[in-house]
Amino acid sequence: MTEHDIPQERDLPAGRLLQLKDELMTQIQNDLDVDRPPSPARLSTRRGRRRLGLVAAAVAAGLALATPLVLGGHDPASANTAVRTDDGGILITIREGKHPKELQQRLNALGVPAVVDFLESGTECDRARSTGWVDQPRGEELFTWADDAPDGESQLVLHPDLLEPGETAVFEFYIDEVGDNVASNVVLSISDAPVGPCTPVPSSAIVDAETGIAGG
Amino acid sequence: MGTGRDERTQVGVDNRSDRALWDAAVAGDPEAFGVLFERHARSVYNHCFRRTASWADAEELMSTVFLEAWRRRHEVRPLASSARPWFLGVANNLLRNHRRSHRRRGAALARLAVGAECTPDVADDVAGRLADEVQMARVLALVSRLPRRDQEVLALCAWSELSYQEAAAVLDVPVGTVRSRLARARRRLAELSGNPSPVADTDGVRLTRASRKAEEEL
Repeated sequence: MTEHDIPQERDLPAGRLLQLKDELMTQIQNDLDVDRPPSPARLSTRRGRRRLGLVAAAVAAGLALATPLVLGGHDPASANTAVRTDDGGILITIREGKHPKELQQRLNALGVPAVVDFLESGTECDRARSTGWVDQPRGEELFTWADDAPDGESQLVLHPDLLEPGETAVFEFYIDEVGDNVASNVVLSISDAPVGPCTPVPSSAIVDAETGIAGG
Repeated sequence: MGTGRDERTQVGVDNRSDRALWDAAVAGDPEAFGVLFERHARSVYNHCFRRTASWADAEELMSTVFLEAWRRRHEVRPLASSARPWFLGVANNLLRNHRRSHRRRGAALARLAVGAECTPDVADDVAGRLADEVQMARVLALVSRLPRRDQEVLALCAWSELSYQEAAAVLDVPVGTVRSRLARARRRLAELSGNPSPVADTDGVRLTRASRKAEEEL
């Protein structure tokens, strides 16, 4: 047995190519619909409890999940927390799309080299803040949603042991707030060089405060 | 045994180049991206199979690759005439996070037969795919003893037939690094398979002890 003993290539099972293409095109159309600015009429119909929909996207891994969150006017000390779990992970609880530096300090105090920023939807930090972006940030192995988050909270699990020495986890939360609704998209990048202050620049990555879904 | 890769899926009524289709997709034309899907789905599907030894997982990953590529279409413009390296690069990223699921595998294998009459052709296809998976799993058992980065180069260059330049672009490493990783992978696999003959790199240049040491330090 050698590496040359691989099977011949195959086509997809009969009919599956077109079926999968149809599914892809449907998903793409959904993305395009989300990208479109909501109409005034649509905005005016939205009422209800204030919530934060979080969509996580590890840059290269395609991780994209959503969960609702109730905003409650927490003080900086309790808005967002980070605690170490028994298996060495870091459980990050997001209750409010504010106070990023307090969360950053909590992570740093746990020995996690991390930078946290919150930005308005449609902007992102200028990538020039670092000269050492790591192209493959290890996706969901490094950064996952907790499945059993309490109602009204969002919990992320970071596995800092997967960071190489000298690497920094860089979180950017993109916030969209319209009326009573708030949405956020969080993207995790990894840098192996010093990370400077965030300079917001325009971005195609937007989030929709109504649906809590990220696009772009 | 070779990959048997062909370009049947590239035959279509749309004669635009991959680059033109990509630019159209970036400009907001999903149908252009659909043409790219038709052209490269088979290649991505088989690449994913060779990394997972599961046709079901390969199908699922392939779909995810194209959706992810669509969502990241603004980030890159393929430099090569073909978008295939870019799609395989996206696949490479996803495969790093892939955990094989026997549950999904079983469900998808069952799906192969759903809706189809149990004709000899269908039965042969299912049996053939199962045999593929067993065979590929054996190869991967061997290849998995290589460092991950060497596995990636092997899969891209030796199995999916990317050029060194294309693989270098996919992995964001110098071309020389691709060459050395592939040579190192082949040398190590020859040792593991009990045939530790002198190994030449793919340009036919005999490796010297010094150059091996230099590669291992990369």
